[in-house]
Amino acid sequence: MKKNEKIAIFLLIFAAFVIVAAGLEFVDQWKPDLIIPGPSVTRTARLSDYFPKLKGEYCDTTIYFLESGEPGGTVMVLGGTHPNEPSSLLSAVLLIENAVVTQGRIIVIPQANLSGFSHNDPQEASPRKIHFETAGGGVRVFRYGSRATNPIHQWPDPDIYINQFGQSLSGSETRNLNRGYPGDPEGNYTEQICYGIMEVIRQEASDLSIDLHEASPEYPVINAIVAHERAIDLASIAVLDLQMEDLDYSLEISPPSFRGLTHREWGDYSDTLAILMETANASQGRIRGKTDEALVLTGKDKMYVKAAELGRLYVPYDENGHPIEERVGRHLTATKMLVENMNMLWPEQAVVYHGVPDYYELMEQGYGNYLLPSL
Amino acid sequence: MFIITLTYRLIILFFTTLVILDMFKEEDIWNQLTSVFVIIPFVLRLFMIK
Ligand SMILES: [Zn+2]
Repeated sequence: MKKNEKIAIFLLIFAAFVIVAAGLEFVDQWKPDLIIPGPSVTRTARLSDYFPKLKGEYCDTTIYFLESGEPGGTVMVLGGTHPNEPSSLLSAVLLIENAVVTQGRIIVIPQANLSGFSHNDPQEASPRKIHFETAGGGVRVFRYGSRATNPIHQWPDPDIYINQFGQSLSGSETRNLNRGYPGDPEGNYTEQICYGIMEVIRQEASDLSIDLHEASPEYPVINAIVAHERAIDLASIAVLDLQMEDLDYSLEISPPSFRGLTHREWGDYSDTLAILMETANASQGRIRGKTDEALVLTGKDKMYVKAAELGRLYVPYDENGHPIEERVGRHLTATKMLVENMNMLWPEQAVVYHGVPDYYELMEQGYGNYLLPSL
Repeated sequence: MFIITLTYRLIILFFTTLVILDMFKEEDIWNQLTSVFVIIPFVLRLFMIK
């Protein structure tokens, strides 16, 4: 055998090792996250129960029902529309694991775009997982995913994504769950997930539906509530109540021409009151420094402190960062305010619950303290 | 969709095979190394892992 052939064989073995090592990491990211049904969870369903075409697909995500058995309204909370916005999933998880519902019911979909949790965004150097120590000393792990559907589930991207309203978006938005509403049963994979979620809202007659997000600190709509026009009165009162709690929010009306988003299409294509909320996440920002698990959990970043000093951000930013407790706390407190004000405005569709930590409790006790132990 | 994926994977299989064959013919070790860096992502794509 010639020398160069020996080298080739050696290099092939080397390649095989790298392929196996990298492949195992990618495949590990496909494994489901542990979410433990809490005291009020009466049952779970799958997205395919509402849209059977999704049966057997990776995106067939779990839906948790927290039912009191007492007549009242229905609130739906959606996490994980964008799996690189961790406060969204983590807020939904705390609701599932802690809420005690005494009137009406809450439906929680913690991982709306489950496919997006199965991979990371290329070239973003995101951590694959985030960890929390629970009160009992155990560790709970959640995936940090990508903004969009995994291309192994939906590809190729077109050069230009023309949404269902004929508007042109950049090609990669074809995998963005928050551009594909109201969904299309015959559309692409992501549009089909949108359709499934729309069906949950319609079939369960959700009165109030909340989509949780995060955004980079340089994005204008942040620490914000975006409301469909039918939900704007409710959102306005909630924003005032949040101000009383020292939590500042800006309020935006869903722009009528910005199609395909939850706060627009949920309201237009069902009777629900549609709300979207944002917190500040440095780990998805464009001017961040080192991207690791600590950045996701603390939001501490020198570059953002500097940007704030230069007046370039839409949220205050200092060396204390924006920890995950603050971001989850904002989502959970704002959710509570929205639900309580819905109860005041429409008592016949009231939803009453307790047991979920608010902003101040989370800041004091830490996120992991409110997770159930993984035994 | 299924047809596109199948075609795509066949194309990758074809090119991966070509690159491997070329690596055995190549005399320059640096060019052989370059082939390895092509083979790794191609195989991951072939199996639709990434
Ligand atoms: Zn988002």
